[in-house]
Amino acid sequence: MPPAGMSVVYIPRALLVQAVVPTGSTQTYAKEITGDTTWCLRAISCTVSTTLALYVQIQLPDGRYLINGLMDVTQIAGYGSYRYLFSRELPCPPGAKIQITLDTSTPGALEAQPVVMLFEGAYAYYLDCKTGERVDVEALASSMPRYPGTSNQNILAPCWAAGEGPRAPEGSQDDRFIYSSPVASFASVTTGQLQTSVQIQIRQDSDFECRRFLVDLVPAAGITAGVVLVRVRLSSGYQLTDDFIDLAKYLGSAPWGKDFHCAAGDAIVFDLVVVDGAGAGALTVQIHADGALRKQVAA
Amino acid sequence: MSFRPQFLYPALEGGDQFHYSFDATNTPALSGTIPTLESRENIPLLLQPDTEFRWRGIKISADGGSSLGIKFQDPFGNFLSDGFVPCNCGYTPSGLGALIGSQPVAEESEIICPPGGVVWVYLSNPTAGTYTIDISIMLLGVRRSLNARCGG
Repeated sequence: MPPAGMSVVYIPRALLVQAVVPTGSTQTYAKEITGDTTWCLRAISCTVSTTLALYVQIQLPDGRYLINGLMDVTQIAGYGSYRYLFSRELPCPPGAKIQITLDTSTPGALEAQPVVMLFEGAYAYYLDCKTGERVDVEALASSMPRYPGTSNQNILAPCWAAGEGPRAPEGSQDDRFIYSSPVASFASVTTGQLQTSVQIQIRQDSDFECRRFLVDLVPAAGITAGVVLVRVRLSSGYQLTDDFIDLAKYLGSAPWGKDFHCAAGDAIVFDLVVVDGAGAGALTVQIHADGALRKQVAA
Repeated sequence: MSFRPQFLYPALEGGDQFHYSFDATNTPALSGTIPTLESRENIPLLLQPDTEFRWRGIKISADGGSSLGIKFQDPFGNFLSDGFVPCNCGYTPSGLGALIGSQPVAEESEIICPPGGVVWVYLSNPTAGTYTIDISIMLLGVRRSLNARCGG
């Protein structure tokens, strides 16, 4: 059924697939839908001999398979009144492909097997009911948002990246801010002090909603191996990680789905330790906390 | 009045054309022989577990026709016949001299098979000698996919 306000004119068009499949082989043919509008698949006609030893599987342009597996092609062979009809026409946009797999090894064919298949259908040209002019439905569809209800069309980005929620609670205001820790320095990755802690002090006048950490890890050129582990906690006692994790691999991240709340006056503490170090030279670590300052504002 | 064909089923919103094919290559129980006057029972035809299947037609193909008798049992345990029906009479439409170019036999009303359901087949050999199973079974219908968006 065409959308409201439109009518559709069908121009019949069929796609022909002809093949001679060698013995003991499985071959796949892809037939691309060409043209300037959607083509609707309605039926498959096929002419074979009764001695044909050929199995077929058909993958439709929408990715679904027509059959549960490879099937004797004679089961759907037929033409005219006996062609294989679809219950409902299948719209196939230009560029879509029908994939036909033909197999002679399953039936044990003793010689090459010929087959002719005709995919029958029609081009659908949509017309505006009022003007009678052609409507480019593909252009209309491509201009629609992929994800209705949101201006943020990147489903992997958090909603706030497009300026939409999570909103600051009523009476509050969020301002984007990035805290930076002091630079932690390890003179060597093999000897001496291999543990330290750095902390980010949160301001007294506003809470901090942390949304991700950024890690800046700079090893000297002479360092050949080593891993920096980190444990993250608040000075108030809350532990973000219950054990040490690989700083470079896991702490630096894409924005989280839920903010890490740090109250005003609190501090984010990073306990660092270097393990499995090798080589010579110094290693420095700095961690940045990216989020928003949340302050109370007058109503 | 001009001729109007009778359509058994209207086009189904959200349904995908699909059919199942079972033969000796994917169902081992459809191969081999059946001794004279004996039967082979409980042959499972396993349906896919992703969606329900609306079973609307059957077609049994055999080169030159088959002498076997057949009985179907749907996934709910209901037999479609009270005894063995000759393949050539019940589930192979008329005009089948060879196995091509023939229509399926419609199931009225459709049988809504649950995802992962099993259709059971029973075969009997009514002939006087050992019979090699020579049939392919095709279950035609529509797979019902939901129109609901993923994630609600």
